[in-house]
Amino acid sequence: MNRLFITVSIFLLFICGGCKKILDTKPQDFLSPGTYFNKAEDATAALNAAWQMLTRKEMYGGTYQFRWLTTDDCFTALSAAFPANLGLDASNSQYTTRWNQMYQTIQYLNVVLANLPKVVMDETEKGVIRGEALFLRGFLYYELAKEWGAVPLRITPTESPNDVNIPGTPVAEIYAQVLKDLTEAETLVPTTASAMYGGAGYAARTTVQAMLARVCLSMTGYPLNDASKYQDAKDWAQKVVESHEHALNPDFTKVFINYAQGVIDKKESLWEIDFNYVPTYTAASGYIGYLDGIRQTNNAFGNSAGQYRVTRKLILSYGPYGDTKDLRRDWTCVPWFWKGNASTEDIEANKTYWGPTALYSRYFGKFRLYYCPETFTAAGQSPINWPMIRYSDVLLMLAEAENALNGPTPLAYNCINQVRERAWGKMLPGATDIEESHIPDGLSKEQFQEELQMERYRELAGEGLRKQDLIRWGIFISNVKGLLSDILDPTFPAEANRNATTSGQSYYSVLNLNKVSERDLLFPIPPAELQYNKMLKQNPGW
Amino acid sequence: MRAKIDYFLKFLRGTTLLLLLLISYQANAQVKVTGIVRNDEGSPLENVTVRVKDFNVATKSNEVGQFNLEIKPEHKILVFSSIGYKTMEVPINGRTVININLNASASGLDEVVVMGYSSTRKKDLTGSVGIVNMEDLQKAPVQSFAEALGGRVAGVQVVSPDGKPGSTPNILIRGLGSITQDSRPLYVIDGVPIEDPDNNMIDPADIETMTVLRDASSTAIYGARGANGVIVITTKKGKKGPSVVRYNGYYGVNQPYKYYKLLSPYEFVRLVSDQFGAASNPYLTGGKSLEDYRNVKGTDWQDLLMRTGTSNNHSINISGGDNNTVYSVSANYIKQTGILIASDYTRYQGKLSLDQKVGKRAKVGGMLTYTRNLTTGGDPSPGATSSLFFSAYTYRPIAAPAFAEFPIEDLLYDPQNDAGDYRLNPIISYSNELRNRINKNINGTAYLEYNIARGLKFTTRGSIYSIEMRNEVFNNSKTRSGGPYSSLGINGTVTNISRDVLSNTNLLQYNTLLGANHNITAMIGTDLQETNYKAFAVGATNIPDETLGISGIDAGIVQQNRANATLTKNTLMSGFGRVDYNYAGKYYVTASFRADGSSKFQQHRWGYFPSAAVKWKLSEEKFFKGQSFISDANIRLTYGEAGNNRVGDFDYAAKLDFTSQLYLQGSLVGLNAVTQTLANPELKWETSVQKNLGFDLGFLNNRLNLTVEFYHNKIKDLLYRTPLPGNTGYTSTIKNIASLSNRGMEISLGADLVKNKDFSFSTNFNISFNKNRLDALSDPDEEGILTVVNWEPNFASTPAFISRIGGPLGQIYGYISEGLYQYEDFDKLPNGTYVLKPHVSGSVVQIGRGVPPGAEKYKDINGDGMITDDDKTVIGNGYPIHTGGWSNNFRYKNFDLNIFFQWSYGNDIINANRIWFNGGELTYRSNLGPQNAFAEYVNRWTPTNTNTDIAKIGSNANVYSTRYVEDGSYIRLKTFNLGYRFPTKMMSRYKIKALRIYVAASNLITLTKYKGYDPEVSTYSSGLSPALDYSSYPRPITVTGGINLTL
Repeated sequence: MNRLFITVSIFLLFICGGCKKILDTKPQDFLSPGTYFNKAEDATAALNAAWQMLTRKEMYGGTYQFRWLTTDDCFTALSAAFPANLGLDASNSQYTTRWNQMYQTIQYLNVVLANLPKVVMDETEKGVIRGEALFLRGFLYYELAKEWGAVPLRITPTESPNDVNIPGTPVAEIYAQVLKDLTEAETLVPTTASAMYGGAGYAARTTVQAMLARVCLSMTGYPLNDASKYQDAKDWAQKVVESHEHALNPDFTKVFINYAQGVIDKKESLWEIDFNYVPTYTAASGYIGYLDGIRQTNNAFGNSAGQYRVTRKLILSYGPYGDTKDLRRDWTCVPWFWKGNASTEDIEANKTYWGPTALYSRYFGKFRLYYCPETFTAAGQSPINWPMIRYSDVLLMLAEAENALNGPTPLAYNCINQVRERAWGKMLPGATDIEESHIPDGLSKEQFQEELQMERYRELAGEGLRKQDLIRWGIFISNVKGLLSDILDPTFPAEANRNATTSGQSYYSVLNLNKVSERDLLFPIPPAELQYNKMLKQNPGW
Repeated sequence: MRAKIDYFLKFLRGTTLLLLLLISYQANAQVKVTGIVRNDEGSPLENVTVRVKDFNVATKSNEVGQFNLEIKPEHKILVFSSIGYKTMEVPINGRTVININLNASASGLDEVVVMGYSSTRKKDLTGSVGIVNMEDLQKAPVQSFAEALGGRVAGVQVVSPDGKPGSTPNILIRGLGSITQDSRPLYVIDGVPIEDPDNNMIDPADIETMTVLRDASSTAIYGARGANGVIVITTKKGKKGPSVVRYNGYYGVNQPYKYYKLLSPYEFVRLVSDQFGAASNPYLTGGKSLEDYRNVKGTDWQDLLMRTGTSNNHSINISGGDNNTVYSVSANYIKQTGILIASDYTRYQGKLSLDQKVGKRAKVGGMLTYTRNLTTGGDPSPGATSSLFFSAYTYRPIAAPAFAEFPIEDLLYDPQNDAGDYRLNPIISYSNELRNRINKNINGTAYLEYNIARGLKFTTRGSIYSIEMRNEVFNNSKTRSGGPYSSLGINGTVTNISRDVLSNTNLLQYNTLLGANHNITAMIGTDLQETNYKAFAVGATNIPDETLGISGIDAGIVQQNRANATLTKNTLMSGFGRVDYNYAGKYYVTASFRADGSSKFQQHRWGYFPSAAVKWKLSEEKFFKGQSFISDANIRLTYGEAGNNRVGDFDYAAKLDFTSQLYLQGSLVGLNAVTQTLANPELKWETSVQKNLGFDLGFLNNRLNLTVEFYHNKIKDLLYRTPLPGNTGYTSTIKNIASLSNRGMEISLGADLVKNKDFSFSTNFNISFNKNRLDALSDPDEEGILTVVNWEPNFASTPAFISRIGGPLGQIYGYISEGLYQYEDFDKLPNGTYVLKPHVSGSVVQIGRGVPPGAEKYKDINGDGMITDDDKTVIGNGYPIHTGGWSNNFRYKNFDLNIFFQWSYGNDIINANRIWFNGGELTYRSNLGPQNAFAEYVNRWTPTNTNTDIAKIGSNANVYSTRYVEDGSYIRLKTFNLGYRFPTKMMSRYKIKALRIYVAASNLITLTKYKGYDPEVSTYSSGLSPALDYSSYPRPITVTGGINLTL
């Protein structure tokens, strides 16, 4: 029996001896967030992942701008089921895509912010990465709150698959977090003049200030209606102006040609989404100039689907049709289209001009592929950058805030008139009679606001800002509904309006827009979110 | 006489330790009987139970075979029994010394069943265990047992992808046990548990026993790896005695048994006119008219692609030994040339096993196998137009007049085709593609057995299973990927994969008899296993000279996307125990328990898997005595839990990925660090809770045996991609969330119907019914899983299979075909267009072209007047209702005959070939030039031929419909083997112990309604997409002649 017990003892040793270690294997084949984040490059590569998300088509890659944001400036001339055409079901996958990508980006940013402290690197540079990440997170939550209202707020990385139920955070609280992120970012990111500033896609100090102005101005309107934020909006906008790092590009058209040519004009353009033409890597390019643009499918002048058209209301906002000195009109609302089978590069010879009554067919023309260094790019591979904040926007925000606080003061006038001077070509060499571009003197506060609203309409048309402007001013639904009477206006030949191109699609698109209702102030929360996050409620009307 | 027994048994679960603390035994007797038990070769036998018949008195023999028993005068007969030996009854007749020799049992209830860690007698089985009749299986001329396993054992389903030599079938035991993970069983080869071994590694002739453990009471001892059943294989070991040489050799041919009929040249030309218009038909130029093609015989590409293959096999085994040493040496060579050109399979194998006694108590031994497999020939179904048979079916059979002088059979491209038509000469391209798969396998085991005390044995075993795999791919200028249509130039890739499994098993086995009737066998053990996986690949494009072959990879441009470096490992540590108890061979109780610790999991690192079984042998009860009709009757009831740990080694960890590139201002900034997946520290194995009820009946001294089993397996914690709300930053994650169940019944019947000196006839029949059901998916539940089969880009987002909650897995999903839209369904407008009548359902799926007369019509299930996605429904079963096999052995004098039928009933197959080549949407793609089609396409819809169900050219949608779902049921004569054994007397003159010559055949006759090459098919197979056939490798009929020689 002794032998038995010895054997059993040895056997027990087999079982218990040093076993714990055997099961502790470590991944050798890939990295995980816990083992990564050691050096500066790690943090940069993780931040880049978030930057790159912005170039996705449903983020700011073009689909979102041209198929979602239709209002009374431009419209999506395609009857397909895009958010722009209203009347979609909440279950439409397009909403899900943008929602998911927004939060995916936020997760990337939260991962960066959570792991940054342990990265060994220069503290200033670390601060820049933190600042960039905070700026972006603040921006994304601002966008989410505008588009979806009370959404879940996550400021730490999701770590468990069971951590799914989060209630919607009230819009005011989201804005508070946005301001917190942005104000901290403002102290951390470099100025555009700094060597650490990384280019068009990066936020500089003035970028953050301009974004703060935009956020604050949004807070003054619907739904928060927090008038106390006018002062903040003015202060932030004024900081941008007083940095003297920015100025309007004297040539309005050059602003957009620069986006096409890949020329970075920091003075005018405070923040861009950077797209690139890389033949072997289509994800680097966007749809700017492709979905919109002047329709041309055989590539001679760049391949554009031409799905984005301007309204007659926009065309006429620059003044009577035959008599406008505003150079923005014919750049934004292209008065011609390409001839079929355009095959030479002689641009002028390939143009066909619309008739004066064809005011519902014209292409939106701010982003023109034929200015790109490589015009023969494949369909849908546009390198044109997208402007997120331009200096004229900052000036108009300053004018709006100033007028709201103090009425139409010289500061307010000065800001709006700068924009108008540029628009009328009064900053170009040899310009005369500069004052004729100015808005009339002696306006009341209300008249000034009205003029300012029109100026934003004319200056920023098609740049994805109009919808939120209208919503915060509380005139979104009435303006969009107004389009129908505009297209049916008997003083203009209706058929020409509706049917100048091929199928009268313009008319049907506008008819679609007439479905606008209260619910369209917010997008629907995707069904998967509601299904798997049991604490969130659908937005009203959806 | 009275015996007093005290025993105290303690079973410690947590450490899986069983300790027998106290055994005391007292006896009070008058006469002492002693003796020595030996086997038929004269060696002493230990552990033989010696029992007094009809009395409660028993003992066991010691290590020198000696037993001592005290008996009373009324004791008349001693019963000797031991595993592996025939039970023997010996009258005492007043003797005090009784020496006996026990005979090894060949079959029947005394047959030893190897269950991996332990073995038992068949009559003592409590769980559901299937025993493969190896003698029958070895009559099939196949290179791997897996090919011949289908239908041999109830509950085992073999899903075979196609007929390519060396292809590996998927074996399912009692239905699909997982949704997303591997459902293949665990293999235990000579005592070593291995997941996913290369089944080609084992020569079927070298297998001694094969057992299939079906229920958890048998598999729970394999814990986290046992849920999908266990196949236990022992290979041949040496036997004591003079050296015996056994040789099995055969040579034979493989033949395609079915061809698709294609259009004749005449019909082909007529089709070209229908498609492109007679005016632009290139065949009707140069003064030729349609009638000129009436009797032209074109090129039959299918025929050129197929050939008569050969099978050539030599297996040799030499074994022998003495009391202390036994050895066995085997070698095998097999070469099969496939029925498609350029596809071959070659195997070389050598094996050595040695067992040596050391002293009285110890035994050491080992086994070493080396195998080298070479499989050549490409995958015939990579997808879409690249698939081999796409070219073979659609390539033009004849040349248009303008191209008559081109020797199309010698050209890689058809000069008649337009640019953009990527069809290639299937013969040239397939034979130029180098696709070599070389597997080198080493499997080595060494063990030590030590008899500590009577009935107590310690075994330790160490083993290495090592597989080195090299895949060589080379595309020269005459191939699809390396030819002029490819931008890559001449290219190649070599992938090296190695997997090393190191294992250690320690076992302590005890068996004893307490009193006369309490039989206890107990075992505890530990397992340690480490698996290392490495894969390295490098590939290059634009190789300057193709004569270099794969050695030219370093001369080309090395591509990052052809490089791979993978390094991963997992470890497993386990403790387990099992107790078998029976009272007088009447009442049986078995319990087992295993604890598995796996490195693949974090929070749930340890898993615990219990099982229990009870059995009542009714036939031992008094009320059964006195009749001889029923000789054996059992009721068995088992319960157990087993796991499936086939998840990635580090699936629990969050992964950082570096695949996306960030460009700023035109230049690459770098690779982004993307947090791709969410960590799931709660990940754990999938658990199968299995219940089994079995009945065994033996009639007429067990000449007729019937076993019926009922089972219900509930598999929970299945890994499934469960959706997450977007706010998490992820859209889905893998969680242990789904569940499914398998229920079924198995009937096995065996009968020795005739057993004479000159003639015998025995038959074995089995049938298995399995029903699976998806019980739950995610939380909250999704409706089901749609599975896409990417055989063609146009079907890349069209689900082919659906697994609905509450329904079976892998059902075929699509529309119910209702013939075609005919003229009477339309109103003709004055402008000549046809508009559907109001009551006829239109179609959304075909919109864009409108629905013209002659288009396929589907059933409008929801009656909304439109065919939409909502009108899709289940249109076929991916899995059969029942499968089975029927094996018959006849012997007449020296002739023997084995006939084995195998069948599958109730399963359907999507015959995707017909979607493309017989009138589906894909037939006649406009971007391709003239394409040949299946012969039935003659009967397509035209304005003058409307009474048909084959649609008009090019007017259908990319959908699956009942039109292309075919009944995949079949019954086939799987194995036929007729042999003649030369009389022993005659042979002994030549010093030959035995000689048998035979003719063997596989797949000789198949009865099926399936129109494809073969109903045993599953291209792009997965558990959820079990039944689609596109461009599959046809299964051959194999006919061989061979000899079995024993010297």
